[in-house]
Amino acid sequence: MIKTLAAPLLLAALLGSAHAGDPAMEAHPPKTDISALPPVGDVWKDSNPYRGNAAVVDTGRALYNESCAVCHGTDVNHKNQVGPNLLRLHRGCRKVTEPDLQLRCLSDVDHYFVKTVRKGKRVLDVQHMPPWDKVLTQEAVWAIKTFIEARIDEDARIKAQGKTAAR
Amino acid sequence: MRRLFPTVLLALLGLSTPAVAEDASASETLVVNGCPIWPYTRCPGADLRHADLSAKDLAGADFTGANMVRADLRAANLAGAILDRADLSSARLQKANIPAASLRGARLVGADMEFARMFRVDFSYADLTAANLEAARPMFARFHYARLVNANLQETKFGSADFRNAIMEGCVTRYTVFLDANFDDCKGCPVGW
Repeated sequence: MIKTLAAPLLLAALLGSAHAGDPAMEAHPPKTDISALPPVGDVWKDSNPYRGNAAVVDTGRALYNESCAVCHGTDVNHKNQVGPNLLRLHRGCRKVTEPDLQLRCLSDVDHYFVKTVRKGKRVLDVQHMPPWDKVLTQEAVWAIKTFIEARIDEDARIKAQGKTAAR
Repeated sequence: MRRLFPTVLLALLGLSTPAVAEDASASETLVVNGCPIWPYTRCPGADLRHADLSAKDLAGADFTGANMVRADLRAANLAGAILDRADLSSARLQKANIPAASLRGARLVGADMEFARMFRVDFSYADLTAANLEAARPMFARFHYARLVNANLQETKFGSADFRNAIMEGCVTRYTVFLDANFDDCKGCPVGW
């Protein structure tokens, strides 16, 4: 009796949840209140409309820690995390000195970021990141990006201070 | 001065400069035929023939359908880059880092990928005729319907690679590793693995 039931039950459990037990592969709507974020419309922007807006950083941080930190680390502290280090997203743009090229570089990173968040990461049939389209609003995604940018700036400042102190 | 040196050297050797228009200005940022060279750059269909992109960080870049014939990509970082339908004929990709990149339908005729790191790359429908993959590491890579004709596969590590419906003819397979590779419906793939 046990043997006859075990196989169908096991199969049902496997089919029922492809990523059961892996919280990183489930995109749950965040509970963070995003009503204070300035609306940006339905059409996805090509560049971060909140860039430099300190007012959205706290909301972005709450959203990030709720939805992204499980893989990318709390407050983008990437040590011992499975996801890539998001503090390196702007590594190419930091070297660009020309203002017009700098804007284009940031726009390229924004495009890559939004595409990855919305579609997720799937390489040769292996899901590395779930798609967040229709789970996170455009406002939420850009708030998260703004928080990451604030952390990148903070990290750069700390490194610069460390270099100055070492001299 | 450093920018002038290669041009002067080529002139002394009696050679003309390559047909790549590096946008001349005081800019420190490399822009080739309108395509800026940085990670996540978006250059679908770009003309990057003969471009010197060696050791450049181009992770996540979009080069869909780009013309990269004879481009120098030695030791370049192309992790997660999109090179679908790009023409990389005779491109130099020795020791390039290309994990998880997409090269679906790419033309790699005569491309040199010696020692390249190519884990989980999608080479579906790619043409690798006469390509050099010596000691490259395309582990878990996908070669569905890919053409591997007269390619140098000496010491290439194809562990768990997927060759379903691929064509393999006249390749050098000395010390090539095909451990756990999938050869279903492959024409000319080795047997006994």
